[in-house]
Amino acid sequence: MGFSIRATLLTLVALGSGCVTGHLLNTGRRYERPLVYHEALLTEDRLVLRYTAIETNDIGRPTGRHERQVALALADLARDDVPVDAFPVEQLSDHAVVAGRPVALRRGGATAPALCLDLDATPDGRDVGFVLQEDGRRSAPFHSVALTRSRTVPWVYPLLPLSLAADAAIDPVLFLFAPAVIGVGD
Amino acid sequence: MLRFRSTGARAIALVLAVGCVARVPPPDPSQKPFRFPEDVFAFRNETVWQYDVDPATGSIAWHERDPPPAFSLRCATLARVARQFWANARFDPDVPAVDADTYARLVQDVIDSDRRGRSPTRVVIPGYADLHSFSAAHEALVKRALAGPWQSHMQRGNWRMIFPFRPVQQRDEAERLRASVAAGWPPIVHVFRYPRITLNHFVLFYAVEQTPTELRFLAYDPNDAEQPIVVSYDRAARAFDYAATPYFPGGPVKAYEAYDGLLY
Repeated sequence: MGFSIRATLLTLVALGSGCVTGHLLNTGRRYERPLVYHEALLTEDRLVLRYTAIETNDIGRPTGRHERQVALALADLARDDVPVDAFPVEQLSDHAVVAGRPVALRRGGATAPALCLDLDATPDGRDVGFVLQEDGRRSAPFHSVALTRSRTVPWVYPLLPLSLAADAAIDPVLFLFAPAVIGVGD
Repeated sequence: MLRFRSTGARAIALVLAVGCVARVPPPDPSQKPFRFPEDVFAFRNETVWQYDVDPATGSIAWHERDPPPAFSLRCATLARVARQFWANARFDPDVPAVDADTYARLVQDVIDSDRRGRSPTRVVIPGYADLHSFSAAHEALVKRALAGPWQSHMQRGNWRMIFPFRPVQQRDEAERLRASVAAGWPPIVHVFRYPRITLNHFVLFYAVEQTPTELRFLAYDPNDAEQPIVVSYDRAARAFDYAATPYFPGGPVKAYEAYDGLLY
């Protein structure tokens, strides 16, 4: 199979996700990180967490808050070798009602109840992690950033045809000028 | 098997194949790790703009300095030449100091040495223990040799900043930078925001601390000769985060290695 220079350039554009399209997607990307846990329940094999999440955009500006509910498998919480960007998290509907034993939330100081989440909170009030304690047994430390979610805001999608068309016109020109910058540079 | 028919397509494929290969030079057992402040300049790059950062809101406004700074827009040059002194020069305080003309020639030899790797021989700088003490004693001479702002403007890898980075690309970049620092080669990193350019800067990563949630890179910031800064990589968000400074409110940035390979 042969490749022409045009096909090579088009492949590069596709791989690079396009200048305009890529920046559009970055602009529309939102990150959600847990701010404060306010409820925890223990079921037979899962820990259910309800928390307030803060949402930020690609440059870190706050864009909103959300109430979220997730479930974590107790087997995963017992492990200390799961990377934070690969921790299995089951997203639950924000309004789903889950039955389970209430778990006390402990932010230092007070005597630990038999079943509690020992929370690690920063001075400005963010819960950055916890350890689940049950009858003296402690889980591995859980880092709240493992609950980081990212999404793309819906208004981006109607603009994609326009951005792709712009990329088709602009990107080949940029690629042709890039060697000039590289050649003259340094 | 893929075959590239035209010469142009072959040339593009060859440049990409060669240029995308990061060059971490083989370790030099005699090389001490990069140290702060010994291996950085005693003076700093001044910013053209006076920044007013509101730490509460993260908003930033700026206006031109009056009078304009005499030594500015050299962040890429300072980061690069600091690494060239570290990799391609050797300070020998036991050898008697020489005259200014000889120092000027030696500094030029360092500047002309390999910008992306180690030169076969090192330039010996007599009379001083390190770059910090040498550049403090010969500030004017060194500043003259560092040439104009065009070297930062024309850094070869600048083309890359206009093309967007996806989170997975930043994850791979963070891992490459970690590996480079761990292998004893301090990478020069272009940190920026684009298309709204509220940061466009070069720093040099020289140490890294790994935590379950982050990679915390200690960096030489050419705008600050007094203390290093921290650029962290958030493993969960797959994004770099630049510390708050007098010229930036702090927050997510994009980052890639500069002065690396043919394309950067």
